[in-house]
Amino acid sequence: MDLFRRLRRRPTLELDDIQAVVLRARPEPYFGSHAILEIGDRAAGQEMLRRLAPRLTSAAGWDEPRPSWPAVAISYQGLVALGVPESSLASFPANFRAGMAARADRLRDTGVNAPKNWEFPFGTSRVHVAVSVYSDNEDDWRREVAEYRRQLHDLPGVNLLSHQDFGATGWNVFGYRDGFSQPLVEGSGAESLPGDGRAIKAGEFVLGYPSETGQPLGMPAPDVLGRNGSYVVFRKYHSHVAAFNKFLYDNGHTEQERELLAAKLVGRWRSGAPLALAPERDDPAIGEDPQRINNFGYADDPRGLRTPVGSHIRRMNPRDSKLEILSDVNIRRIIRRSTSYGDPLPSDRLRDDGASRGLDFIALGARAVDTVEFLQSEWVNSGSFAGLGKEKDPLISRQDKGAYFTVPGSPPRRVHNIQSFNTLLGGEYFFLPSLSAIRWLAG
Amino acid sequence: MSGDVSELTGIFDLKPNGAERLRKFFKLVDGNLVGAGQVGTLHNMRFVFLDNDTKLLFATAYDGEWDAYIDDFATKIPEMMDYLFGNVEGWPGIASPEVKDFITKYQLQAAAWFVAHPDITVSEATRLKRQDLAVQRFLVELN
Ligand code: HEM
Repeated sequence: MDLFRRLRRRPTLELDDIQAVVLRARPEPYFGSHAILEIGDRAAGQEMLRRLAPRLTSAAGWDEPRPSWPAVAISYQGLVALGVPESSLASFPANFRAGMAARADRLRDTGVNAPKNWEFPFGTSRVHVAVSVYSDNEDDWRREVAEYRRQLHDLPGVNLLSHQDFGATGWNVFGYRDGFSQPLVEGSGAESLPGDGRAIKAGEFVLGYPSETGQPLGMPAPDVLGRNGSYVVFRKYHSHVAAFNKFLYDNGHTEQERELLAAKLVGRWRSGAPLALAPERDDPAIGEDPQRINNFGYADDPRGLRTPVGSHIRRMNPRDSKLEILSDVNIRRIIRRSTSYGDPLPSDRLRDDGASRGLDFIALGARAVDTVEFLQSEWVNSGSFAGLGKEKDPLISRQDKGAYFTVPGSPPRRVHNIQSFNTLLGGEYFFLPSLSAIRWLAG
Repeated sequence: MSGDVSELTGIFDLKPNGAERLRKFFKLVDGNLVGAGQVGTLHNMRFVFLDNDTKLLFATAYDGEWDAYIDDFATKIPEMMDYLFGNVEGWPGIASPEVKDFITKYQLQAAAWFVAHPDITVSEATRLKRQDLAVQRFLVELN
């Protein structure tokens, strides 16, 4: 857990009412499961919440090790199934109410990524509740999941639609360390680490507190439902690691050339060390050092000679880059609690083994739904904001035929035939209620 | 939307003296809202007073979806937005959660419109101009 922040100041947020997952970092290594449940009848749904409530973990003491903790999130259809009053339902934002599949145009989820190609139960109106368990060891994870099963198995009005296990060392299936660059949340009590810049207003992540506008963002009614809640965007990706490896082999003759290209695509070496601080060769010591791993900006690299302007991390958090379009980078931050599933494929394997592997992208925030829609349309699937024309994110976009990635330099190098390295298997928008809201929903 | 470029037209009721205040402001900037250039997605924008200064016709062409950058306006240029649209009856404020619904309510569907280069965003035009400048310089040096 060395890479993650510690709680060093007095928190001003109501940590004991906020779900743990908001502030608790994903450990290294980690184990867990995501379950998707359908509420068949209202009484059973409420009974389920009553049974889950005592097991929920708050964000109090969020930096102290814990064997496991759950997260419970509810989709709009789930709120409907729970019988939430109409006036309250209407107070949720329109895109959340529509659900992720209905927002495919805005999310640029087209072609293979379109909802009609998603795996069950995603894209149906039966996705009501997501229960995730995060653990720092295998035994507690298995024990915890068995306990949930025991709690819910005799509730005939609640159906388990899918169960997916996850787990990794901290390195994802492409072999990159991930999940560590996170916004500093004001009022959380978190220490500031070099490179953080100023803390982001709490209301960007937790409902009911001032946001970057100076005011709290719109919040569902009544207060007990909205306050201390957040939103979750869940997107399950299948990763084409063999295609990624082959792209590196097609465009790099030596191990060193391939690893440099791999770093240029992401903006970091697989160790986590950023190109901004280690431009020519990997420096794994930086990847292990929380004081250095995020201690950089891009203002001194306007052309992207070190960190390509189009690389994944520079797109997803342009920091102090000069952009072509007026944008406030502080309102586009998300807390990521993504999880990897399946085994990594070693970097010398160029043929797909057909195995299921990938990443559940999980973003949290008071405007997470708006932010992910914004990221998908403006920063992932377009290059306009950075003067890159039609070039897209090299890691997570759906690439068109003839797509390329530009590695800036003198002369710049255009690397052709970049493929879609991750395809979407499905996803949904969820509301992440506070602990008191869960009790309120349980009736 | 025509390719990457979109249009938005709306007619809004003006507050008493709203037209007068806006006219003064437009005069101050010589009818030229150059400041809007920093937005980077706006191709053009116009303000027209209708019905004896009681209504405002606002029409614009821009890249992408109209509401993608509203939240950025709310934190980056809130004074400018509220100064302009604060003269409109019912304007909830740029930072209000209601602002998107407000605009949608007054939006008028265009029956037809035309864009010469629907695939050229403002950002792309800037890039092409930069590229052309480099080519011209190269040609000058070559000769
Ligand atoms: C299969 C899909 C994905 C993979 C393999 C992936 C991989 C990575 C890696 C290796 C990093 C750098 C280390 C870190 O801080 O975590 C990263 C950072 C990041 N990614 Fe992704 N990512 C994926 C999907 C997404 C999606 C869908 C989004 C948003 C729409 C996203 C947003 C971000 C952000 C915001 C950062 C942090 C950037 C920073 O603060 O510098 N990622 N990702």
